[in-house]
Amino acid sequence: MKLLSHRGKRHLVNAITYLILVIVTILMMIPIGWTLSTSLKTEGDYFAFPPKWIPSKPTLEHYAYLFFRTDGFRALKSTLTIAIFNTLIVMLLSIPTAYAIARFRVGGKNLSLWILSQRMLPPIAVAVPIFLLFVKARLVDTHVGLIIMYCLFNIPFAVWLLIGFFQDFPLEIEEAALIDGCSRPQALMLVVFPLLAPAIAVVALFVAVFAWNEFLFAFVLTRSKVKTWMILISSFQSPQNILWGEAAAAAIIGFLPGFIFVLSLRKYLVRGLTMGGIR
Amino acid sequence: MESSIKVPKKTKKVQNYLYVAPTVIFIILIVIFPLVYSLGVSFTNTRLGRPSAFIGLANYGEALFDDHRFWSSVLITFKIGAPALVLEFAIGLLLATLLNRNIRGRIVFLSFLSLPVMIAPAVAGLTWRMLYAPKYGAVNGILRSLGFEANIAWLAKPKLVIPAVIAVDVWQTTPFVMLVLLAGLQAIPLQIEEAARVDGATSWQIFKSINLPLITKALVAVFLLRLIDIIKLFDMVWLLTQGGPGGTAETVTLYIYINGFKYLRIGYASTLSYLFLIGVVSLTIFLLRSLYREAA
Repeated sequence: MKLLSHRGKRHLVNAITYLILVIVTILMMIPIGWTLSTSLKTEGDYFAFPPKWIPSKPTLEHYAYLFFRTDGFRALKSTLTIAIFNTLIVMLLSIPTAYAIARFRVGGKNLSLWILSQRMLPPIAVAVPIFLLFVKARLVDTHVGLIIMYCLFNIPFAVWLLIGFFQDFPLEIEEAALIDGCSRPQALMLVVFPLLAPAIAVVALFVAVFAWNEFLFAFVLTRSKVKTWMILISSFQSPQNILWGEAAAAAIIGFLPGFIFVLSLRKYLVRGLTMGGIR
Repeated sequence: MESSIKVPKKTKKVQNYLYVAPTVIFIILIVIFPLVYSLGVSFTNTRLGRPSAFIGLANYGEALFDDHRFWSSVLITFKIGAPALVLEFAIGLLLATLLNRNIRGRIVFLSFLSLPVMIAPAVAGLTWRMLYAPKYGAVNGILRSLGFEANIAWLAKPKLVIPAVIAVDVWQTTPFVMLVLLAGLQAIPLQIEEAARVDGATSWQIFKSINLPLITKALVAVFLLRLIDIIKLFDMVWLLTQGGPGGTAETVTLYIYINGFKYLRIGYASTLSYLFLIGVVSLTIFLLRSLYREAA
């Protein structure tokens, strides 16, 4: 006793699939869309009751205010400085480490697992002693301090992802270079590195986005001189007289690096976010 | 003797260690040394700007036996984490299964649904703080346009603040679960499914007996990652709730932060950090053992 023919059933399943996907997509996009809309609204619009979904007179004044009347430019500069230098240091340390672990099995399984375990460490557990040590070393409220601390989560991430990329790299190409008279470092620099450049760039971009997104260390280890974008964002959190337009504009700019990454490098997302655990 | 062969081998091994030495030294400096230092501090009554004294295990005793607020923060972390993980896996698995079907516009859905994956938790917290605003926020706005008399202060009600935090976490991290499980599903060779269909298996049977067992590895890995991340959660909860009304959304990480940086009880905060670390590490080891044994 079949209620539907085979084709009818398939159409029904397709319809349900689309229905669920459309509803979930809309629900997921509402927060982002509403924030974008708020960042473009004039003051009258965001205090309109009931709330308006589309700004009646879109304006960029909140973005202008963020950059010209508050610390926007300084925050952007600080964050980019920290992200760029952190990425450089992380890559410089991680590439040789990952290469040696993948090729020579240095330290066996223990070393690589030890490095991975650093990623599991809750940052708050380190934040307390690091703060005391930074006070003594006069590193509180400096760019250098944050550049160093962001290595804490970025090095284990980069090493693990790179180990996978190096393991996938065909050994024959490297051996050919060694037979042709290259030394190990030469083979790494002249043969392996250029061929793996796209993969290494992906790792570097992940690292840079994580540095951009970091909040806890910036919150605990800076005062007034250094202000990252996430700290600028947290300054809008006061519940009373929240600066809606500015807060929304700051959030939209805060979203951007992540969005650009997702849209342009989606095929690397799974591998990256599981640190190569799943390919 | 063989020593003439052994020596170059050894120097080669030493050379190999040079590749990893800088990283290992760096991690020791920024993680291991601070942790050892903090172990020492955890036995003192250090407060910022005051001389400190060794008080033995007093901090540990206080945390384990007298600090109601600490245990309540453990419970709150669990109350946020458990439902959030269940929802993320249920919705994530549903979306992955749907997106694994060969439907038109798949890429469009996939692009939109992946967007929140790399959002900074701090930005998510601020965004949702605005969305939850009682009068002008979008959440109540939507409820009103659906006909409800909604003027709910989501973040100011002790009973609503935890569900509010859960909703934000589900919004932000379900796409990650979805992407990993989708990758797992797509790695299954099509022939297996076709063979089962020829043999007369229904879609549900295929899902239950073929797809689900074959993505166990992905499921276990993503579960562990999510679990650790949700225990570590700080940025989003802090920006969204700052601990909630009467500390009703105060997770362990928030409580450690408040002790260390608001009350300036550095010694006690170090003790709490250690207890937290021990908890996280033993939970991870326990789960790794039991989950991987089952998956194997």
